[in-house]
Amino acid sequence: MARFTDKNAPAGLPIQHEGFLRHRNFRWLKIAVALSIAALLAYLIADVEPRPNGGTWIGYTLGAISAILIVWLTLLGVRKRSINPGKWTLKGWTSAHVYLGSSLIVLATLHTGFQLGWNVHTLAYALMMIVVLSGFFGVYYYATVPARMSDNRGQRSQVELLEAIRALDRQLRDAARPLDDQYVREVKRAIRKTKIRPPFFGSLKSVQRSCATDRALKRLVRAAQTADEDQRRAIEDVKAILQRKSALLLRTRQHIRYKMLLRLWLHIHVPMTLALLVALSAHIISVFFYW
Amino acid sequence: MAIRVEFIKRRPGGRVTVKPKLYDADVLSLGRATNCDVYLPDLRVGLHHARLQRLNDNRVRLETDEDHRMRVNGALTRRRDVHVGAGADIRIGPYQLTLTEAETPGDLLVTVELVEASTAVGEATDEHEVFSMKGYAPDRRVSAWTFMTFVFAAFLVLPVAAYFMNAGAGPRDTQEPSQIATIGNLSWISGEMSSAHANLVGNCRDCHENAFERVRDETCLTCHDDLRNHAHMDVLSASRPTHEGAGVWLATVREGLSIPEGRCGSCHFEHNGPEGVTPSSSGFCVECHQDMDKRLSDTELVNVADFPRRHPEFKPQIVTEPHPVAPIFTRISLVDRPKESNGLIFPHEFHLKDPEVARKVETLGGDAQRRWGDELECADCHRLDAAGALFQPIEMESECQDCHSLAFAAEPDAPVRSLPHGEPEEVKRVLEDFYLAQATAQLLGDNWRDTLSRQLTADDRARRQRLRDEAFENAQTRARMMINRLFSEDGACQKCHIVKAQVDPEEPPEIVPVRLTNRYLPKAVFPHAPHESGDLDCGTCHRAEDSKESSDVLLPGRMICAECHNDDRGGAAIASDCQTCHIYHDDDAAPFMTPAGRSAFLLRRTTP
Repeated sequence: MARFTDKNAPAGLPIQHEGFLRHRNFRWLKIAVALSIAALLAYLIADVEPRPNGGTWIGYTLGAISAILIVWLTLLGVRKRSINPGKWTLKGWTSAHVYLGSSLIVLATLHTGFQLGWNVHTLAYALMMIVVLSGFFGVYYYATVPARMSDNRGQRSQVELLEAIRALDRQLRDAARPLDDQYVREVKRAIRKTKIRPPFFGSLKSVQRSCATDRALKRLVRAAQTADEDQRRAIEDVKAILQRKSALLLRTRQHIRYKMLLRLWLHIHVPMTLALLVALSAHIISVFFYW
Repeated sequence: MAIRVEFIKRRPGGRVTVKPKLYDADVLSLGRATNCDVYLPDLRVGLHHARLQRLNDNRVRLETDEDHRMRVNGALTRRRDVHVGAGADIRIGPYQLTLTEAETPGDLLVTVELVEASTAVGEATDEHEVFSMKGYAPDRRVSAWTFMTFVFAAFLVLPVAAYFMNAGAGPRDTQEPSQIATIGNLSWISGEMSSAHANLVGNCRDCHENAFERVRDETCLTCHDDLRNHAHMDVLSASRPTHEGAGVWLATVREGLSIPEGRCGSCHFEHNGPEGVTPSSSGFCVECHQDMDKRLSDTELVNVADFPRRHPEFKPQIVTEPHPVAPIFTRISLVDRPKESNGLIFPHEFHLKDPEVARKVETLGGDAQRRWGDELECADCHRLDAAGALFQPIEMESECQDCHSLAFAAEPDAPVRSLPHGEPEEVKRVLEDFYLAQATAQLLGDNWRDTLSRQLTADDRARRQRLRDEAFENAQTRARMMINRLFSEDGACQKCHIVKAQVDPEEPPEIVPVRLTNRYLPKAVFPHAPHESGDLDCGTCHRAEDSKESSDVLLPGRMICAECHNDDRGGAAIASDCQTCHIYHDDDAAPFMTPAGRSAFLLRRTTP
């Protein structure tokens, strides 16, 4: 993929985007792999007594590196909020965050010497693993979801999606006036009772099925088959609007789901990171408290 | 008699437009349907929602269809008759209708006004409401604070509080910490305690007496007070190698943190599981011992780095001068083919292989034969001690006497007497007593009461005196002869013992004392019991069947051990680290255990 800094690229030609994963030709991936291999070799070569654990010289070294890394990785939260770009770009910083964060799996696991128990030390380790693994989800969704998301949304903004639904509601309201009361009741429900936000669980298909708009649509489809000439035209109008609204609702709900994927991992990643910082402090204090 | 309907519309800016319509009828239909007289275009209104009917000049009936209702003067109803003079407020869907008398007498005025948003469409939905994570996941800030507070309280505050709750404890402290303090302490424990210290698990301060201070040696010595050191402290520090490479850095760090070397904790690491505290690799030992001669010029110790390759040949403790009280032991390397001088004559080969021994055993009969079986085996005489480590001492009475009997009788049918073992003086007296008693019995004959000396003639008395003298003399001679025969080359004693040349013919000859060695390697421990496995038998290591003399030292050489105890063998190897055989805190029994306890410990350690 072309580098962003390709100054010779003719103006006006689309420049391919270089994401944070392949930033600077995977510089941070290489660094993280090198770091992990070095740690693994040191662990294998070091002959420590009586068994590998966090209290040996290699254990302290790996622990110190891991602790510094964790604190630095946390600072991404600060860095991304600061407007002044500084020496490192946010993209570079994120790239380093992802790859160095992944290398923690190797470093911290070796630091434990595979000695785990029900204690603050393993708590810190477990929290760290949760943070890193949730981060993997984040990376995966950040890499795959945005494209699908913009395909799904077309050129519309979120507000435009909501406005379009409202506009269809208004059309429904007007188009439904000539209908029989029984159908009007359905249409009214479709307007009032349609919940845009899908529930946390369940497929969108089932969400659509139980949606008031779709129910009204189904009812009117049946009605259109039996209605007399006068009513049929009105029913067909309303049906068409309902169909458009249903399609739009599906896209909106899909959009919400995508947004959820992009954010949900953060609701684990961020609180767990902060809990990890406390657990890590307790872990370090405990080690030197009872030396 | 008309009905005037006024459609009122309020424009922005307060302007009001009124669109009147006059109906010359008694009945008005109100509804969403386009053919209604009063068209109320809203979905909340029914197609033919209501009817307004003049009953007479003063009364009007308001009535809805079956499916709908309306509000008349605030009350929900289907049908209501209204007095025109009193007027009425009617509410149908979003429309407010008022019913009053018109200016033209007899006419009815109905005003219609949309007072609610005509729409059933919801209000503009807030974008953030719809697209936020609210309802899907707890707020990040809230959950972050919740988790942080929990971890802080449970894993930092509680353990530190437990420290202060347990003030003044020590390893000997028997007071149990409170349950909450124990939970706090356990949450900080860095690994499973060793089985030896398992009782200290609930209270960190038993060992970690002060916060931010390493466990002090004094604390360990509170219990391990009978501990002996490996060598004198000066020698220990002189033999320690100088730091190189990363070691220099580590030593600097250690110095900076005031962690001296040579602490209990330098070798003994707690919190590494049940087996953890005693180091199991040779690293600590080899550090000093692999090139000790470089630092200790006057040491007699040979450099050791590794058992199968760099370890001197065994140097057993050999009896060179047997003495009943103070035998002389000399340590001689197996390389120099040492010969023992233990005072005993015992050819192993003869006892294990010669058919004569088997024949002898056959003649024993009874319990003795049952004990010894058809032929002799090692275990017939060498029986393990209770701990399974060494052997019970060999005793003449229990191991030899069944064959090497010391019993004797005057005649084949006479009662048997037994000579005492190990007491030549006693043997002499027993034999003298025996022969003197025999002579006395002969002299007295059967009728000693009738032969009183005063009844005898002088000749008889002289003869009797002579006979008596002869008899006693004879008895003494026979006793002496018997003693001489007993201690002679063909006698019973010399079968097993070395008899020194007789100095005083009146005294029994002196026997070289026997001193068997029970433990050849005083600096190592070798438990026999765990080695009784697989194809191993005594002969695998001890060449007893070829040993013709008891001076042979049957201890196997180092390479025999190294056939199995060889870490280079990889997966199937059996431990060959220093601690397999040696104990750092040098003594006869491990410092912190009873001898029996230590044997059990060694058994456990060496049993796969």
